[in-house]
Amino acid sequence: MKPTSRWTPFLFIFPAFALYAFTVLVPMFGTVGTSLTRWNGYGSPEWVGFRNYLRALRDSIFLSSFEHVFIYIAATIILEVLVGLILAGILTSRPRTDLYRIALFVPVMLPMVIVAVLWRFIYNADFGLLNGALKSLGSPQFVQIWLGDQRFALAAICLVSGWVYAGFYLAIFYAGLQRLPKEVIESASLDGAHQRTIFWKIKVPMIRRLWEVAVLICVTGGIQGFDLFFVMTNGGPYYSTEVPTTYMVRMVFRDQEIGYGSALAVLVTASVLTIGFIYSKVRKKSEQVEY
Amino acid sequence: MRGRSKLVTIIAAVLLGATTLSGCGSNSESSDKVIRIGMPSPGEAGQKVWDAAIAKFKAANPEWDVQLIIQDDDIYSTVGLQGLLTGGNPPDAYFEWAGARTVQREKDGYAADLTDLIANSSLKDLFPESAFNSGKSNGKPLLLPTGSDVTNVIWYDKDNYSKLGLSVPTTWDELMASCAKIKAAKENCFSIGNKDYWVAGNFFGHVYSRIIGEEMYHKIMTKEVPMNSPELVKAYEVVADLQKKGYINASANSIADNEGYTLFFKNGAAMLPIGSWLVSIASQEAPKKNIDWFNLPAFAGGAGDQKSVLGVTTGYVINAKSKKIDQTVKFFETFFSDEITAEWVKAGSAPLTKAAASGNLNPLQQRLVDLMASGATIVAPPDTGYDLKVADALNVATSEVMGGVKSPQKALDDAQAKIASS
Amino acid sequence: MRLRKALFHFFLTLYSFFYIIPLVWMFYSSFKDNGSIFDSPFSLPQNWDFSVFLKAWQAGGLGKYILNSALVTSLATIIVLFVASLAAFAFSRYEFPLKRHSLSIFVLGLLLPIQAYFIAQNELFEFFGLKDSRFTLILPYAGLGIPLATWLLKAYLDSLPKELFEAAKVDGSSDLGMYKLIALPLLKPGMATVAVFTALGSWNEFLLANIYVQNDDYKTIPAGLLAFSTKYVTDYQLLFAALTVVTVPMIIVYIVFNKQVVAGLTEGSLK
Repeated sequence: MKPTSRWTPFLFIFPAFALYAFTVLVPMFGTVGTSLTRWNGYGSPEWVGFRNYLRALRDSIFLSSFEHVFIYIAATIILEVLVGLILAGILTSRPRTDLYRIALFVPVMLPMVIVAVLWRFIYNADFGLLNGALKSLGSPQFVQIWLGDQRFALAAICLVSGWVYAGFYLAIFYAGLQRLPKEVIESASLDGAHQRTIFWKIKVPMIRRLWEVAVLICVTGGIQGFDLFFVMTNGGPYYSTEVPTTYMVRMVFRDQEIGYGSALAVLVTASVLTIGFIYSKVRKKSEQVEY
Repeated sequence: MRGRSKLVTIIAAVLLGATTLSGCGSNSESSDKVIRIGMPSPGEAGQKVWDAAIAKFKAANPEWDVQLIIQDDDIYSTVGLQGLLTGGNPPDAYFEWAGARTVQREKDGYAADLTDLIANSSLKDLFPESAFNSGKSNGKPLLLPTGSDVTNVIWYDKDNYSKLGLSVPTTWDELMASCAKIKAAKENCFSIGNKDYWVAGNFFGHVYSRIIGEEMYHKIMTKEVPMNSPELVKAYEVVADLQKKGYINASANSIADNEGYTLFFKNGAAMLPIGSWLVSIASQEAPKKNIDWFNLPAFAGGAGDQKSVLGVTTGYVINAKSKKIDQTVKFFETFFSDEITAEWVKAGSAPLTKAAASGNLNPLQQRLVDLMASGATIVAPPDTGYDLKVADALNVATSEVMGGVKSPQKALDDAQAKIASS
Repeated sequence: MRLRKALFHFFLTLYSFFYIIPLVWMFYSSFKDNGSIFDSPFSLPQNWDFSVFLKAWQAGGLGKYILNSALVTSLATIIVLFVASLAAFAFSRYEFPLKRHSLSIFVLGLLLPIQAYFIAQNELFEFFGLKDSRFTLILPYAGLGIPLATWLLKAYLDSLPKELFEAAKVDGSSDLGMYKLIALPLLKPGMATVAVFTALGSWNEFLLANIYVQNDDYKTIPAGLLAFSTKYVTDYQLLFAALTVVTVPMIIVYIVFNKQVVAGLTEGSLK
């Protein structure tokens, strides 16, 4: 559609763009600039060219942080999106299940600080609830130092994340499933198809758009995940739960290496953009195939 | 609809305007008669004393005001202070720890040379001569000291000790023998909450300095000598030994410092290596627990002063870039006056002014003050006395050996690689 | 059939109950003293003394944190709704040079983790003296919410039939008029979605809240709670009481507005 005035589109976009540019784009450029320097935040920055980037590519902690965040994303797709989908399927199979939906959504609204403090206590090796329950149920052999053991810490965090967000995806899929046209489903069940088959073979494909969006939100949320990791373990034990975001923050905060931290930031941004780019290309292709 | 969106527009514009205005407002104060002082949280009792000092100053200088910029401890010591000093409205004075940090401030131009300022004010009479020593760089005093804190001693429960038939150890070997008895009684020997690396970092930093000597420790922490020098690797064996014998709580690296205190208070361990601040925490959280402390016992054949104390002096640095230095000094004359010193003593602090010597302190604290003043070598803790990166590398290596995931050699090799690459 | 129904509800009840047990536990632990929280964590409290919540409220100054969070969240959300809907309308309905590129720039924001630019943003805000005020966080939170809001609202507008707008154009409506009279009313469900996302994100945001605002009077809930948990190092009873005080109203608001929240979340995203 053509606007009344040539300038309208730009005027309309301007406020959002200005705010976005000031808070995101300008700092982003600033970060790129700083990434080419060495700076502790006090004196003046010292130009070092690409040295920070070379160092980053050899930094084993940084590289393994990517591994951890990918594991986290994969785990949360299962624990949050898939579990949410299954729960939605279960709750839509009968009427009057609102109460369960409400209960399961409650953790979604909590600030991560509360979640992290609460679960830190639950996972506490010495007097926490999990080990306490294991002991009183007669299974002390399963007692572990959940957040202190390299084998379990990352899994422990993924579980907490799942606990928080499964209800979120449940709510989304529930609404999506409710709105499906009844005719197709009724005819399928009249044909004698089992409920579970109907769910997976008919309903789920029908809400394809929805779960594609859900997966995207889960992936972007996973890459940006910070609060939970920071408060629960801060990258420990022994960097087994270090993700790119916590590492970047540590570089700047504790090590006062603003230049290096900026280079890490640029690399993380670049990888995120690459993923996004690949995703959109794949979607375009699959959309073409559909027709 | 028309009316409503117009209203929304107006509201949004007003709010945006208010936001910018309130933000800009703070800038105009830099030329006003306000002295700004940056610091981490002084605590409830400390806040009251500051209020008293400010009130006294304002009474004598009615045109002036004092504004405290208080930040979270962790944030202050990392990005917080940095942001303040380099930002639009830098403070005229700020809290600092004596040692490498203060020296760095001077290098970056943020620490004023106090030699003349002290000599020409009442400050020279309020303090004993030696008080300014720890904050000196090249003979120039940079820090007005407010406290000397013992950063690490070993706390224990007196009742528990007598129950187990233990006496205060004077050597490390005696301490190890005590630990064997404690372990046999199925208790944890030490409770350490090392999630943030500094608790074990401080405790073992002290141990290393005792074994390899303060000079060598200092050389390693200032990067004159590589961190994986054989002497330090050998010293780390002590940590590996403790881990093998199971004398440290298995959860050490995953629980935070306060969770470590809780474990000790709940009788989950016999000893707690931590600093002088435990006194006030214990008086609130575990008033019935009969606690006491002893300094790190002597190491046979150790190269350092076996009576050394791990501690750091803290105080206030005056910003060399401030335009109100004279007035700031005047404020500190009030701040360190006898009257205000008495208030600090009442609040449970141990100031370093002459007037404080006659104050009444909690006996546990009095002994700690005496320890600091005993004349033994004062060793600076890794993260307050030295460059944060180096301290971090050391502390991470300590945590790795303490957790049994790396050998001393490997942990220190990795630490050296980390600090060499920056 | 009856049995199956009973079993269905039984297992779901069990599942939901265990799901929210951590919160239930946090609530009743506030009534126990620190000793029994550690020694017998699962036991129920002896006395249900509600004064501990008052104590936590006062000791932690929770009122001001809640106020600050409410202020920052609502203002950021209003700003986002306003500017993002304008932009989304332009992107959706108009053709203009550089449209594709500018849209990509907005979508970029969806993927950028805030840790990637918060340091430079911090320096920028320092320079303009915007930090450490009650209103500081409004701008960054609004900036954070714009990409998702614009994307969602544009998708929503895209799904509306062209004819609605064509007809208005023929009638001689101005651009602004079309936005106000046609787009805005139709966008209501989408706006609800955006409001929920933006509000949730701002309310729970942690990193910037801790770095940008040091003055305790101006802190939001996440920063305030962190400060609280570090000040009262070992007083878990008080800590849990404080967490409960902050959580319970949120849960009540959610239960009361349950339909709207869920509708808001799903209506706009189902396109």
